[in-house]
Amino acid sequence: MASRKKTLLKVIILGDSGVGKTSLMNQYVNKKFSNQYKATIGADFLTKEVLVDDRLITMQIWDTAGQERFQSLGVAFYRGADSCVLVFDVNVAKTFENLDSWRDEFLIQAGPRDPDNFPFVVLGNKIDLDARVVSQKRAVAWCQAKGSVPYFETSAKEAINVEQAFQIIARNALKQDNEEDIYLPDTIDVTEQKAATASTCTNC
Amino acid sequence: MEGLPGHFDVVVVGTGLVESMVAAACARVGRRVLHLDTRQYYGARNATFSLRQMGEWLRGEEEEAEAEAGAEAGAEAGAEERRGASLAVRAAPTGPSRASHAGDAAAAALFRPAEFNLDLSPQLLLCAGAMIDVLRRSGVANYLEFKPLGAHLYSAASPAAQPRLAAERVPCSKADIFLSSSLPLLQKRQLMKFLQACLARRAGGDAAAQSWLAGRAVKAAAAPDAPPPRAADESPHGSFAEFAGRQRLPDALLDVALYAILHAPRRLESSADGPSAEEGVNGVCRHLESLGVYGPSAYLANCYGSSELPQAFCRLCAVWGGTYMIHRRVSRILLDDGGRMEAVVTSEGTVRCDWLLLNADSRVELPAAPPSPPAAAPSTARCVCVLTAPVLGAEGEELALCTVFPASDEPGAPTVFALQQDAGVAVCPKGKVVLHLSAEGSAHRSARQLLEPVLQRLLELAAAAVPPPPAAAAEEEEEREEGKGEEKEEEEKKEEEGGSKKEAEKEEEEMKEEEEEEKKEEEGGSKKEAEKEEEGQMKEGTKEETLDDAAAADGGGAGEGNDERRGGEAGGGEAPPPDATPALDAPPPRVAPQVLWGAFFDLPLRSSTDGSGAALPANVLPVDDLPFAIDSEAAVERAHQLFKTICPDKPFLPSLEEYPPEPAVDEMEAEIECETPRFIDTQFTTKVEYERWLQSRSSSRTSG
Repeated sequence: MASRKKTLLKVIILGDSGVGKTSLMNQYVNKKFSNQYKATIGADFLTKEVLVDDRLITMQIWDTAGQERFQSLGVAFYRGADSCVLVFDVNVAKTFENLDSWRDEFLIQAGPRDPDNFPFVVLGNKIDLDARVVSQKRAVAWCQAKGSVPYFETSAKEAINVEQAFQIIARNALKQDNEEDIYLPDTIDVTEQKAATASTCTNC
Repeated sequence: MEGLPGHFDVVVVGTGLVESMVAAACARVGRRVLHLDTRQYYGARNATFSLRQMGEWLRGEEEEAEAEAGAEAGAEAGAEERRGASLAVRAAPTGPSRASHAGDAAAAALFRPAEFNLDLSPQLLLCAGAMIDVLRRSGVANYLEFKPLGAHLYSAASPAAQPRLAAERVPCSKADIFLSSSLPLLQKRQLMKFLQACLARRAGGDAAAQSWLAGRAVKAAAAPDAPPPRAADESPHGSFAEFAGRQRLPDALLDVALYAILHAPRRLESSADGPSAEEGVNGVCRHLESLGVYGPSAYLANCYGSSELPQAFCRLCAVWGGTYMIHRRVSRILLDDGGRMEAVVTSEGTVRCDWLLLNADSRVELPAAPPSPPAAAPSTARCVCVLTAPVLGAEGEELALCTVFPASDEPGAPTVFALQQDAGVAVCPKGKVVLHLSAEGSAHRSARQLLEPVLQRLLELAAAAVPPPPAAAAEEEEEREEGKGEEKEEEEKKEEEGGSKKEAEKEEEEMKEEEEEEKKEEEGGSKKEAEKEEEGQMKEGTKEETLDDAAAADGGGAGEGNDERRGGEAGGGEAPPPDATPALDAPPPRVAPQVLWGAFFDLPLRSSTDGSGAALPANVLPVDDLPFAIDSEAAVERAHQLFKTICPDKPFLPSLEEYPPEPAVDEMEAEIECETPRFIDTQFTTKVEYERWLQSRSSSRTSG
C-alpha cells in the first residue's frame, strides 16, 4: 500500500458559466448531449474507467456544480486535483479572457507542488456554432505561453475531440504521478461500511 | 447582477457547519436555496485557515477590510430605504477577542500558503454518531477523506494528580481494559461491569453487551425508540454521576467517563450535576458502538481541516440546485404588514423568500435590542500551535486526542481538549505537528491564562520523554521559573537574556542537522525555500530557549521526585506518550517538541440577535454560535431541528433510495445520442502525444 500506483484520478473542470463544462463531461462519460441550457443542477462528479498504457484507471471528473457562477467555489473543490481542464467558449471572447484568472485561481487554491508543470488542458468549446470570435491562433498562443499546455477545439454537441481531449488529460495526469501524493496513503471509506472489527481490534 | 431569481424558498446566510447542513437538507428535498456568506471563505466559525490567513484573522485585518465593505453596503441599503418596515442587518465581528498572537510574519513566510490548514474549531467525527450517519446516507462522504484517530488519551490537569504521565489511554474495549497496566485489577472488573451495565440498559442491549464482551464491534441499537428491555430494574434516573455511584464505579474512572467520553465541559460541582443518567448511558454506549468500526478508537478525522465538512454540504446543496454567493451579504430584512419577513436585500439585489437563516456573523438590529451585549459573554478558549514534534501518542499515533481533566482545586475549571494533527490529515507539512487546545472560555481568565499551563505541561512531559541533552543542569531550572510567565514568541527579550545562549546554540546545531536531513528528503525543494528554512531555524533556535530549558529542567527534576517513578513506568508499558524508549529500529530518538508558531484566542459565542431573539419575525431563524464540542453531534442536532422547522414533513438529508430525486419536469426533451466520437484536426500542442495515442488505439478499435 505504501507505494501505491495511482488508479484514481481527480480531474476538475473550470471555466465561466455556460461554456459547456457539464456538457463536455456528459458527452465524454455518457455520450449524451442536451441542447437545453440550464445552469448546472444535479451535476456532481462522473467517473469513467480508461486504459492508459495498459493501466486501468478510474477518472473522476468533478463539475463545479454551478458554484462558479458568483465566484463562490470553495477551496475544498480543488483538493487533491490531479489535472485541471480549463474550458472557454470560442464564440465568447470574455470566456477566453477569463482563462488567466481561472488558472491563477486554481494554482492559488489547489497549491500544487510544482505549479509550472501541473497538467492543465485547455478546451475551446462550441466550435459547431458559427459565431466564432476567438481564433485558434490566439488560443494556441496563450497555451504556449503557459508552458505548452495542450489545446483542443471541441464540440460537446457533435462529440468532436472530446474523447481525445480526455485521453490526453488522463495521460498527462498520470505522468504527474511520481511522488506527488505522499500524503494520505490510506484513507477510510465510510460509505462502504466493512466489518472492520477483526482487523482493527486486538483480538483477545 | 446576472440573473438572480427573484424568489427563493430559503435564504441561508453563513456557511458554518449547521447552516450548510440546513441548506443542503433543504435543497435536497426540492427547496430553492440561496446560500450566502459575508466572508470570502467558507466555514464561518468552522473555517480553516492557512498560516497567513490565520495571522490576518488574529490581527483583525480581515475585520477592517470587511468594515469598509460593510459601510458601502450599508449606504446602498440606506438608499433603498422604502415603503414598509424593515430591519437592518449589520456584520457582526467575527474575529477573536483577547488574542495573543505568538507567531510572527517570518514564521508564516517559511511555508507555502497551502501547507497549513488550521482550524478555528477543530472537530472529530464519532464513528457511530449522527454525523457519520448523515454523511454516509446523503453521499456527502464521497467528497471527503477520513483518517482514524490514532490514540484517545486522557490526562489529569496537575502534576499532583498524575505525576509523571503525560497521558493514558481511555480504556474502552475489552482489550484496552485488559492490557491497561495502570488500572488495578479491582478497577478493571468494576469498569467491565459498569460498561456492561450501560450497554444492557439500551434496547437490544443484551446482545450488544455480549458482542462487546467477545471483543467485537457493538452494533448500534436497532430501534433507538424502543423501550429498554429492563427498564424496571433500576432504570437510569438522576444524574450520570449518581448512576455511576450506584454501579460502584470508582471516582477515577467516573472522571474518565465524564470528561474523556462524555466530554463534560467543566468540573462538576456535585454528583447531581452534569449529564443525566440517560444521556450519560447513551453517550457511553454510543462511544462503545464507535469502537472498531473504522479504527481502534471511536473517532475519525477528516483530511484538510474541519472546514471541508461545511463545504462538502454546500456542494451537495449546489448539486441539488442551491445558488452560492460567497462574500455577499444580506443588509436588510423587509417585513410585510403582519411583521413577517417577506424579502431580503442582498448585495446582488432584493430577493423574496419564505425563510431566512442567519448565523451570528450577521446581527439584526432589532428596535428593542439592548445597546450592548451582556457583560459575561460566553466564549471558547483556543490555542493553536505548530510544533516540531508530537507531544501526544506513540509512533504512528500522531493523530491523537487527549482530554485534560479540569483541575480539581478550582471550582468550574474547564476540561481541555488537546487535538494533535499531523501531515497524515493534510493540515501541515511532513515532520510538523499541529496542536489544538480548546476549552470552555471563562469571563475572568483569557484563553492564554487557561490554556498556557496545559500547553506547557504537554511540552514538558514530551520533552522529558526524550533523553535530556548532556548539558542539562540546575542553572537552567531558575530560567525555567522566569521563562514560564514569558513567551517563546517574545523573541527579542529572549535574545537579551543570552544566559544559556551557548546551550541554545548547541541545540540549535543539532536541530539544524536533523531538520535539514528531513528537509532534504521531503522537499528536495528550491534553493529559496532552503534558505528561508535556514533563517527560520535560526529563529527557532533563539525563540525556543524557554521551552528547551524547561525540558531540560524537567529532566533534571525527575531525580528529585523519585517516588513518582512507578507511575512513569506504568505509563511506559501502556502508552508511552512520545516513545519513552526509542524503538529498536527507529533511527533518531524523537526530538523534544518545540513551538514554531502559536496563538491563543477567545472565540466569543455570538448571537445574531444580541440575546433578544423574541422580537425576530417568526420566519427568520437565528443560528447562534454553538459552544465548543470536539465532535459534531450537537451541530447535527441543531441542523436537524432547524430543518424540521422549515420542512416539517420531509426527511433530513435522506439517501437516494429513501427519497429519489423528483424528475425534472421542464426539460425532459432532446437529448442527442452521439455514437461515434469524432476527431478533427485542430491545432494541438502535443501532437506527438496524440499520434502515439492514436496508434495505441488503432489496435483495439477504430474510430470515425
